[in-house]
Amino acid sequence: MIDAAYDIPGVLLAVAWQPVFTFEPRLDLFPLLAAVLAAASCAVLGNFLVLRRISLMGDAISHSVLPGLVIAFLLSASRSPAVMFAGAAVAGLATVALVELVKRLGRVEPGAAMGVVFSILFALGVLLIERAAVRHVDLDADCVLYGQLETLVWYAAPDGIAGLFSFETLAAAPREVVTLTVVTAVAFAFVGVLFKELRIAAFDGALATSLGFSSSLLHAALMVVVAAATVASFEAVGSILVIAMLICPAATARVLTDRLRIQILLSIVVAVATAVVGYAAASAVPAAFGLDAVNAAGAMTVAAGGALVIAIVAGPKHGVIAKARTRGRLARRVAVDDLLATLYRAHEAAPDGQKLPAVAIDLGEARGIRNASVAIRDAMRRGLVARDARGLSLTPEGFSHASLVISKHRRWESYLVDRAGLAPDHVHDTAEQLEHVAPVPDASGSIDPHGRQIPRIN
Amino acid sequence: QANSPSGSAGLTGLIYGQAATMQPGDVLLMAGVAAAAVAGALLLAKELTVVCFDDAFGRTEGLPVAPVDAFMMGLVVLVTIAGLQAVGLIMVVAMLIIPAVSARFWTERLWLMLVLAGVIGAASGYAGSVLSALMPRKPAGAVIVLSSGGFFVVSMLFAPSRGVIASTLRRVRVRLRIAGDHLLELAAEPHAQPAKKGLTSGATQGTYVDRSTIDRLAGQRGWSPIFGVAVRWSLRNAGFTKGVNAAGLELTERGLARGGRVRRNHLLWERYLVEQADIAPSHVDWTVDQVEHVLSPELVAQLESSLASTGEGHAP
Repeated sequence: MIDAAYDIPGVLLAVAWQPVFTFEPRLDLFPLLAAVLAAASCAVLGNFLVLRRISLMGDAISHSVLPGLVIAFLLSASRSPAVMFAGAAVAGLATVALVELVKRLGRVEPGAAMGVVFSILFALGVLLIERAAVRHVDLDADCVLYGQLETLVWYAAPDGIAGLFSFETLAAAPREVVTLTVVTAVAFAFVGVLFKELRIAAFDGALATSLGFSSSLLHAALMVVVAAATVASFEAVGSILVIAMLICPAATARVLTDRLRIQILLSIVVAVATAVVGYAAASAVPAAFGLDAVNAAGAMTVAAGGALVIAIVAGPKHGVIAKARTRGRLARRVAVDDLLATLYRAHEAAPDGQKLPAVAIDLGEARGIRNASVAIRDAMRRGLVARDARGLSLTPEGFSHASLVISKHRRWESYLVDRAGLAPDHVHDTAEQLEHVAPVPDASGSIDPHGRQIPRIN
Repeated sequence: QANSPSGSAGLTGLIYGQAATMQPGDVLLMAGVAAAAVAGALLLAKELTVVCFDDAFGRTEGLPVAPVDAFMMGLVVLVTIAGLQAVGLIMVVAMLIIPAVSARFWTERLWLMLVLAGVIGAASGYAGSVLSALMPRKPAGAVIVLSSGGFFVVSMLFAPSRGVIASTLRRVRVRLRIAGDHLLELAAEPHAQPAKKGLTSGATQGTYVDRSTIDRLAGQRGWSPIFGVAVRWSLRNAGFTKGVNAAGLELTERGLARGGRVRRNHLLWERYLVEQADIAPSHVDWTVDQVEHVLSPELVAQLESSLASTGEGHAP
């Protein structure tokens, strides 16, 4: 098995072709379901956190609910979900209120205000846990941090699929899964019913308030639902990893699309997919190396992070690769245009009256054209430039293309001098840039500010 | 985590901190790392400052902004490692943010803020450790964070110029001054003026402003009863009024003079805005109200001379 660690292709083959991950309903159904529900509910809410640039608030809420939970437990001596949610909701509201207080009264910037409030509240929670000596009850922080997916064993699992839908088996589902189902439903309902309001408030809070509904009330409600979702997810995936589920799927979706509805749907899909993949990989990948299964929640977080990285790099519009390609294409087009313009100007300045003289171009000083050799190759491939013994010359197509570029340049120069009031010796560089991309103003005359002819374009 | 024999126990120590069980060797290591971080920050203080405040300017000056940014992140990592054993991972955030925010309240100068932040951080560390040693079974990390929280609250409330109490007092003082000026202005309005802002003529008799006028002004401006009392008190304190009797609020010479000056500024601005700044006359009062109290003498002189040159009448 040690050899396997060095035989990467072999390992990958093993993982792909052998069923190292078998799905056993008794052991796997509820953990997987809990993970998927936690991921989905956090992802759908996380969209609005990411859009409003308060992702840190998700981190803050998931930490600052701790004192709320502990105080609720201390006051009521019970761990029923209702009590826990009440504590979480109060803690969530308190966090929102305190952050606003610190921001307004202290004129502290938002990120710092959130950091101050949540870390103090978390410290308070840690203190209260120790003080109440509740570490012997299942409210200990380890569970809160890491979750305990693996313990969601379904003792009363039926033998067949048909048994899944009988009332007795469903009633015996673990409490965490039931809570998560309810909370996921609430989160979806919240986003679904209040979608228009949330959307406006996310992009322009002042407009939302002027339209008649309070964006701060909406903000507080969103935070309460986030607090509920984090508490429900604690026992499934743990608090540190809830933050990943709040942010990563939403950020991944944001990079992939610019439409909000699609982004929300995509984030849910990504969340569910990374949860399933992570869960499977938690046992499959180490098994291929002969190691024990790792913590499932941790694997899911790594999967979510990996999905985000892939989206950032390979995203179709905003991805690093896509943007580099677009930029490269633009740069090459601009280089060819500049080459043609240079040839045209040389042709204008040539003393002979030939229509298309060959002009020798020194590649070393191609008048500031970057990668002149690449530009020349591109232009020749497109049939715009021809090379012979004396040098480069414009083909007829190249000449008309060059006329277009020069015309745009000189029309811009005229506009900048006549309408924008620039001095004639300041306009060349600006026109150099504008000629490639901006819509061109109409020619007001036929002579540019430097006294040269503006080519007429049919 | 799954593969280490100690499992989650070691990680819990990292997350909560285990200040109480640190060895002297650990302390020396921490001190070294912290000293290195401080030295790094001081060496590149100028560059870090430029990048923090205006990185576009830094770029135009030829400063390598991205490497400096990376260096700053590296310092953060170093400091996090140093603080890990003391307060644990989650609360290193607190130690990174709270002392700096607290120091910000006390000063506008960056170097002083740096020094103060260091002092506050050290003080919270000390106070937290001492307190947690005195009380049984309190995790040191949490107590340290709560001590720094205490420093934060004290700074936010009591800092002399940016603190909440100081700025509230300042705001109240300005509001009282403006309200007092409005009151004094009433006394300076000539009896022959047509009804302005709902105030009837004959409301003022020489040096008195009668009660009904004051009440009307209070209602118009939304003064609470307490605020009204405070305004009258501050006017008496400043020597602009003598007191209230049957005829109303009695003004002193200084009060009359000040009321006259405020009134004159009001009219000057009105005229300027209408004649020279193209504001429709119906908008004038509102705009004027905001500025009539804050004109400097130089500006007033300039306005008067310019209006005189255009042939407009003088304010009464």
